[in-house]
Amino acid sequence: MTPALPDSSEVAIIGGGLVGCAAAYYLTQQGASVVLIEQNGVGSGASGRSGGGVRQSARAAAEIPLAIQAVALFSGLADELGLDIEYVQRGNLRLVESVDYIRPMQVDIARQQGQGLNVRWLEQSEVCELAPALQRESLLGASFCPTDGHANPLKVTAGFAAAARRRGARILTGCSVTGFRQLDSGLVQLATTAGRLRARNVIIAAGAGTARLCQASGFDLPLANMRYESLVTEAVRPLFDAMFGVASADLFFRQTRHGSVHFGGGLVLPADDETTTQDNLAAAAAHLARLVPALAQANLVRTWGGLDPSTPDGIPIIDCLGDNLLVATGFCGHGFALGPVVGRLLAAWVTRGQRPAELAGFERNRFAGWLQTRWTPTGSFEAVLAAVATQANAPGPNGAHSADPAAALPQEGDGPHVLVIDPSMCTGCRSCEVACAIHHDRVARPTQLRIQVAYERDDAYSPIVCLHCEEAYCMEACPFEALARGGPGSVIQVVDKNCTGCLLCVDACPYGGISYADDKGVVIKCDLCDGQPACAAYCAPGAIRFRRVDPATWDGMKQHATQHARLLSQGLT
Amino acid sequence: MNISGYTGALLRIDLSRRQARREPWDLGLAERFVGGRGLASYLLYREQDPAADALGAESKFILGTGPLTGTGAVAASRYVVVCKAPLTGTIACSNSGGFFGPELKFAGYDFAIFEGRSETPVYVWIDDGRVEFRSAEKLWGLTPAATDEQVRRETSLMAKVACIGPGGEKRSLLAGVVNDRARLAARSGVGAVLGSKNLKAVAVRGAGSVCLADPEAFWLAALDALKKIVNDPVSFGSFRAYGTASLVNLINEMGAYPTRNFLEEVFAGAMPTSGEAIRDELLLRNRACFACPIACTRVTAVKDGPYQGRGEGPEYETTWSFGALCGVSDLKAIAKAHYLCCDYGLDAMSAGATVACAMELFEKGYVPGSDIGFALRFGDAEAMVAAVRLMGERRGPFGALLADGSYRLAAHYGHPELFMGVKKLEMAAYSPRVFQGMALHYATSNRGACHVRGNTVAAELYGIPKYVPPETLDGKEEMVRRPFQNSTAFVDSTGICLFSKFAITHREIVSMLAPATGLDFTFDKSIVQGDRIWNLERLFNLRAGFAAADDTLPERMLEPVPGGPRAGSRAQLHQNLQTYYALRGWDERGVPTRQKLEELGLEDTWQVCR
Amino acid sequence: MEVTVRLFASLRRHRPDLALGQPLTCQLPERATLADLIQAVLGPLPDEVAIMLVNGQLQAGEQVLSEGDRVSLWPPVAGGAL
Ligand SMILES: Cc1cc2nc3c(=O)[nH]c(=O)nc-3n(C[C@H](O)[C@H](O)[C@H](O)COP(=O)(O)OP(=O)(O)OC[C@H]3O[C@@H](n4cnc5c(N)ncnc54)[C@H](O)[C@@H]3O)c2cc1C
Ligand code: SF4
Repeated sequence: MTPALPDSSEVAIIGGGLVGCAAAYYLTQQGASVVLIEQNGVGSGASGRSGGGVRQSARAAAEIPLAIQAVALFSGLADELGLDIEYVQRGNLRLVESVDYIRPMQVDIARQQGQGLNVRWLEQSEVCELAPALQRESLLGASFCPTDGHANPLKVTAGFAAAARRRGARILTGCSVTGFRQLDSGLVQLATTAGRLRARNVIIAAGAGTARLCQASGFDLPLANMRYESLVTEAVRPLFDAMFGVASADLFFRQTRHGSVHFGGGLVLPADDETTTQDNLAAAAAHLARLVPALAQANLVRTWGGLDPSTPDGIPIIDCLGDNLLVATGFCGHGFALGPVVGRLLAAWVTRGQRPAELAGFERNRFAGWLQTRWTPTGSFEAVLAAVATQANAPGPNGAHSADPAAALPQEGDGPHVLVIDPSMCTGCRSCEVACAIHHDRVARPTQLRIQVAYERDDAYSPIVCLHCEEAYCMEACPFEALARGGPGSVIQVVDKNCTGCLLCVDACPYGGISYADDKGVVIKCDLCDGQPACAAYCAPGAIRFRRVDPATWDGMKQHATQHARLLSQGLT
Repeated sequence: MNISGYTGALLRIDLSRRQARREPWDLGLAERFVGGRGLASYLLYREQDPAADALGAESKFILGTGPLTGTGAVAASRYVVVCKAPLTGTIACSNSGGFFGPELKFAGYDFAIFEGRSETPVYVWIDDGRVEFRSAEKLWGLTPAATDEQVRRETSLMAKVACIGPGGEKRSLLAGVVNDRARLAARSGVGAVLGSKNLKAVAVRGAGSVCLADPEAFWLAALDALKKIVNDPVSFGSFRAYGTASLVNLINEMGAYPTRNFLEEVFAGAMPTSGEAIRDELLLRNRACFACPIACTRVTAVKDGPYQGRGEGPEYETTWSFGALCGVSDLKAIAKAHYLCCDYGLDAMSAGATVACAMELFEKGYVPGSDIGFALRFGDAEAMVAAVRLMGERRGPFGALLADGSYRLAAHYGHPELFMGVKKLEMAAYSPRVFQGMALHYATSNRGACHVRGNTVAAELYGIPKYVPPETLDGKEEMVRRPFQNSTAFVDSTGICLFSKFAITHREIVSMLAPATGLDFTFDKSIVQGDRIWNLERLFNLRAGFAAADDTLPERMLEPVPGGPRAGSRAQLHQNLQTYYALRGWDERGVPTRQKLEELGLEDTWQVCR
Repeated sequence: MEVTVRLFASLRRHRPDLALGQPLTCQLPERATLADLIQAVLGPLPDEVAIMLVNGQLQAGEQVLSEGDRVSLWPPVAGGAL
């Protein structure tokens, strides 16, 4: 039964997710009196919906030291809570399915090793040895961190709540906090649906509800909620015991103790509800079935969505909004592993009245410029200016400029000609998009495009377009031979009559180079306009050039496109 | 028939009843008034009594695009805001670029007409064919940037937003409409009209297309225009590198740079406020509006210190209005004042000019220091920024006076002669005592002393289209009338940005306009169209009560320049004015003759209103 | 004779040693023209200079200079609108 809301408390915690419950537990351990207020039930937010991965690898540099502590904490957690949390420490594999990810992954592994993490590169054969259930052909290798693992997120969260309650914490469920205010007395007053409460210290751990709550109380945090959609299969024979993620997609999966495979993906940002979408679920299921053929026939038992707030730089905000008013949020879909250790550090912060050293680097003021206008200066700008200065009086831009269609003709020589993009020159004008639409569809239109400008920030933008890869994922993915090489050079074109609109190619292309035109019922993509690309001809600053491409430039473009293609799928144009 | 270039539809939004209706408009009007400024002005003239109160419930507010907006034609990103101007009482037509205008087209509308008044703060969300009225209670008080962010979170991240800032909410007569976070349709107080209607923002998302009658011909014409722009050293050179502020040193060295509320025409402290200094100290990156090769937008920041901030600009006019005009040479303070205006959603030109006017009033002892709360002297950067804050927040009786512009401020203290503008609109940074073309233009422009309706400095200094010395009087009447005022009226009606005109002319524009629309747009017709639109605006103003006596300049401009290279020069307006009227086909009272109206086909229009 | 000259906007890049607005003093033979001065300061770059002020007055290249003249030079620049 839920206790009644007291008028005051030493510590009040908003949010009964893992972070809130862990903080409550560690605070009571230090003898503090704690009230935790949860709008629904314990674990009803991201914590109960989580994938359960407890990994240190593949995290941003700032998070790795915390994650290492987190894993140490997880080892003793079952004993501490007196509950079997189904913790399995058999490693995390981040699978690489495309050549383009091999090099970036290896660079990233070196970075993580530099931070003292036990992580290494596994070749294809080693991956298959470790996890024979995976389909060899789909894989090129993986990063592997043997001390990573997974646990049952609901049990961990509920375990902390129960342990905190045993030590005297009052956990109120079905009660929502609508605002907070700092009083002159130094106390913080909470307004809730069950009345008011004053506390000496407040911890906001309200997950996806944080941004709204803070905004209502006059604090604007740069948060947007993201959604993962999850599925679980019926119990199947034991297949693997590690945790898995995929480098080029949102997919994650693990097998639970009783045999079902719990997996998910389909990141949606921003999102404001926990619904699932048929497309995302189907994509995740198809991807998993491709990776683990044994699951192709398995029945799905249940699906759900979960929200977690994300920040612009992908790491959480753990900070004080004022004296005695702490907030821990923005875990960006990977806060399960960190939850217990963050809870413990928040408790230490409250009792000692001082930010623990481990939490340096998560302050919100790192977004100071962002909060105002979302502008951050870029390093490449000086280069642009220098170029403009030298152009200022030589009539017209530099010689390779292609406003003259003839100048856009391929140069002599072999090797593929593609649209070479220089993001530092782009001014975000979207001329390329219109030029392309006029050329192909005879109308000006902002959607259903073959080339599209992605806006990363208000001062960083660049077009995304097919790279006409030598080994093309789209062609490999298409079961119907609807993508074929033709025309001059190595142009990949859509054979409209073969296309069924299955979108396998769209999913397969990591570069955002192909999209679906729902009015045509087929996919569309760049065809290089028979050797005279309209976009390049219409790009005044010369950010798009049609020329032969060397491997280094191509690699750079692929990396860039991978990042930006994500922005497109998130609608940040 | 397939409608091309235009969408052929307007969206009528009744804020009182919260209803929206899509209506076709008569395409026959296209060849008479083109679109944008011309057509929206015609719609306003037809639907609203020009004599009515600009902030009354019966006033209308029109957002309009041109036939080229969103087609991909070079620099065709503009939308216009047309209504009766609360600041001046004239017809208002402010325009702005960015991405909002094209999006309105993609949603399927050439125009959106807002009528009535909402009881409570509201914003309108236009999602292609669907229109929703949503509460703006929570947006009230937010800056335009924050409003943009919040509205896009609540609607679609891809939505484009036009809104007002706190200035417009408080119905300040210097308030503009802000789109895409930091671009302003600034002048004439158009933002106050939205405030009076309780309309905080309009968000649009369009997934439709703009059709082209002859895509091949259109494409070739667009490529040709593009080539001219990128080969032009101004459009593709100095605009990108220095913005318009490359003029600061030039106009100042010439002795035509209005200083300390136009007391002088040379500013000793200009150098640190010039385009060169802005580039060295503030500039982060250039940005472009939709389909614009010029990319003149300048993302800037003051990185530290008391004036820390970020935004777009300042440009020539605002580095001047907060700089020379206030006697201030602290660039960071100028930038801050400019950013603040953007946050409040105020016209930064008039804002600076109003502070300058207040400074003169204070220094002459006409305003007691106790009214202001601090000493507001020329050259005091801190006081200048503080005055902008007073104005933006409309704090106290003096803040309220500032926020309604220098005409009302000077009049309130009994010294209307210290107002430096025409028809209650403040002048720009080109002295009419030196540029005789500007003198005549400021006096006769349909929205008051604004420079973008006929910037003759182009001829009188850079020699575009042809050099005519600034002091010359002969022939200035025709120069002001045709290649400047009429031409601007035409270009503003197409959706193309005026900045393109340093490199392209009506010829390039009609060669895009004709294949885009499939209508018979020609060079010759464009000349008449410009004339017709100018006259239509004049008719509105006459009906609103303006007369020849209003076509004048402040006394001070008729007196000689006190020093510098142009010492002794003064505006000779009265030698030109009657000739100008006659050339325009107006009688000596400045009223178009019956014959002129017939020639332009405006006879009925004039009658209807009577 | 001695005249001073100042370079603005993108012309500044030819003399990066000069601060913004810093005048350069030039010795020229008597009856030298504006064009001669530009030749002496910028070398053969006539196209780049578009606007020339001598003591605040617009002048053309043929203009004969005199002792103490103050010359200011710009590339093509513009603003406002047209
Ligand atoms: C599908 C999915 C898969 C994931 N997989 C992983 C993974 O494999 N590994 C990993 O490390 N992380 C993973 N995460 C992320 C991780 O689950 C979260 O980062 C973490 O659980 C966040 O915990 P929390 O306590 O901050 O938030 P939550 O668990 O969301 O708790 C916040 C609580 O606050 C309550 N609340 C909100 N507003 C109010 C209010 N105004 N008043 C009162 N109560 C309020 C909510 O009801 C909620 O219960 C995943 C997340 C999702 C959604
Ligand atoms: S046309 Fe060029 S500058 Fe404009 S958005 Fe496209 S790539 Fe960028």
